[in-house]
Amino acid sequence: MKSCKKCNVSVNGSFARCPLCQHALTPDTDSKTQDMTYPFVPLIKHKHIFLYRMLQLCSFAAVVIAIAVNYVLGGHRWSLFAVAGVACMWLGLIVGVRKRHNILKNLAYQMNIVCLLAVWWDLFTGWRGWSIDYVIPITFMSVIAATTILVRVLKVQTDDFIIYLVLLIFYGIIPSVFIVTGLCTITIPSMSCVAVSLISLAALLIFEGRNMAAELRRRFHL
Amino acid sequence: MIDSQPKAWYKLDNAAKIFPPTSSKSDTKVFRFSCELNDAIDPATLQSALDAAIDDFAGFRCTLKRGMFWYYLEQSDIMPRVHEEDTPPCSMFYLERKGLLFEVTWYGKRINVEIYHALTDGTGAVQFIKTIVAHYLKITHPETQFDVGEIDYDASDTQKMNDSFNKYYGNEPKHVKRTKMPTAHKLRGAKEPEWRFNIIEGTLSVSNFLREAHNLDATMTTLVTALLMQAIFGEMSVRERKRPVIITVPVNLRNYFDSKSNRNFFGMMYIKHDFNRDGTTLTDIIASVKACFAEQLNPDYVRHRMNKMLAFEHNPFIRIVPLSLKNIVMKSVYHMSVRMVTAQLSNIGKITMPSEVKPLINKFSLFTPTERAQVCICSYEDTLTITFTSPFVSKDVQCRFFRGLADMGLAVEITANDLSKQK
Ligand SMILES: [Zn+2]
Repeated sequence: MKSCKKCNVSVNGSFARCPLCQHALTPDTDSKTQDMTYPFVPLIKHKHIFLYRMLQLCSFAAVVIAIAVNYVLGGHRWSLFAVAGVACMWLGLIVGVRKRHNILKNLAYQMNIVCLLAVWWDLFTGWRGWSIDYVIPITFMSVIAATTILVRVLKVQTDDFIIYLVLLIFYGIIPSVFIVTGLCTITIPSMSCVAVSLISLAALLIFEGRNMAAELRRRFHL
Repeated sequence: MIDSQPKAWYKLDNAAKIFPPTSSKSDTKVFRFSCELNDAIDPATLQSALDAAIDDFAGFRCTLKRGMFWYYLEQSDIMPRVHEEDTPPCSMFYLERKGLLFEVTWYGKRINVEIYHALTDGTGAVQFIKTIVAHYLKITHPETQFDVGEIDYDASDTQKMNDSFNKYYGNEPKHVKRTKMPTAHKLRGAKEPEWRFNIIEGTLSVSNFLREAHNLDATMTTLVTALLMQAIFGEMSVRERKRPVIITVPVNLRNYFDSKSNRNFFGMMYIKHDFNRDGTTLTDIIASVKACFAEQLNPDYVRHRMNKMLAFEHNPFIRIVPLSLKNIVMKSVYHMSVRMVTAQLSNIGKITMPSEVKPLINKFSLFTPTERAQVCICSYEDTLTITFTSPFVSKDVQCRFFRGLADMGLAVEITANDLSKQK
């Protein structure tokens, strides 16, 4: 075993210098080669970091160019849409990356973002109601369908998806409010969405009623 | 869909509640126990040993779930698999793989058990690694005559998964002097990249160390705490000396309240020394360390601290706050509380094994990386391991600390990880 004369300690492993004071180690007489004490783990070089930075730069450039061109040409302030578009893309991307470990959760989050942004865009472009007529019910329906397919394809455990399905069904019933209050002018998408949700709820209760109750008790314990 | 039975689940114990909201890549709240044997580890045997051990620790087979109001542990069907150590120690494996809250790995002659603190504390972890090692040695050395069952406590599965905090909550003692802790001196400096940290483990003789400690009229924990304070003092500037050095030491509540739980059951002590006011010699430091221990290591004080901690969980108004809001509150409370901490020290004490297998085991050790400096101590037979982990590039405090031990005439053997090669 090697030793450090400055620290007065013996040192295990393949060190050439003292891990405490960086002074050169003195080898002992029985100089048999020492094994590594911990595995060598190289620093993670993020593969996507370059792409990510390029995307950042491109987004910034797009925003600056849009504002500059808009300013020079004058007229309608369309550059604001470019800025909002870039912001929306980043919001989706950040949530997508942060929730990448749980695809069902990711889907639910993205659904919320899409719906909120749709309403917001609709509001700021002179309310024409397309967000409530089409975007929200169709998004809800697609996400319920996607989740149902995903849990089968990915063989997700019952307890791991019930809560998402319950939440989605709860969301899916919201468009009934649009119909009752007359908020939407075109009722077919909203009606279909409510119908799909109710049928899914019935299926869940019939096949997984006990598990659903247990899951709700767990998730909502005080 | 197969109609499956609803899964068993457990509320997080009181101490564990703080861990999920405050875990991060820089402070993963994972700790590692290692056991070094005389021969290289055989992976297949280790897997069999783990399979056998997990039967006794059925409650450990669970994943962390997020509820509306609290996190909770849910029984899982995942079978733990052993693998060779291939990541930096104590990574956030529990989050990234959505898996179990512990991991068993091996490297050379060493068996590592890494556990997320939300699952259990050091005492529970010691029981677990002892059981794994015992099963392993039973397979590799069939000639040894010992009962693996004797290692574990005589406790049922429910007793093991009990939250002992809840059992002993209430009954506030009278006349407990409350001391408000000031802001502590903070270690600063450049940190290692990617939340890596330096591990320096010193191995020395228990009997020699205890002899030195008794000469100074101190216990093992007292002396190590004092030496750590002295090492930190050595790197403090004159201006920094106006703040006290505060070291937190967890106290095993099982020593105060009858409990066979494998879950968390510990409290925190704050050991304070003000170098401007209380003196700078080792004798001065030992005196204040002893005074702090004497004040805080009495049953009334321990109970008072425990009740204070539990009041949060038992407050009906806090209970009905959604988890995401609770997390914000808990994070800020935690960040305020760490301002009162310079470094952490944890002494798990003596680890014992049946006498038949004693010659087959070289040593036990443990460590946990935190955002501060952390010293972990455990002993096995006459081998004392003191492991110093720190996220800082500079190892000056560690150098002073281990030189302090060597200067007492103790033979110290250093085992460290080498981050310089990994850049
Ligand atoms: Zn040295």
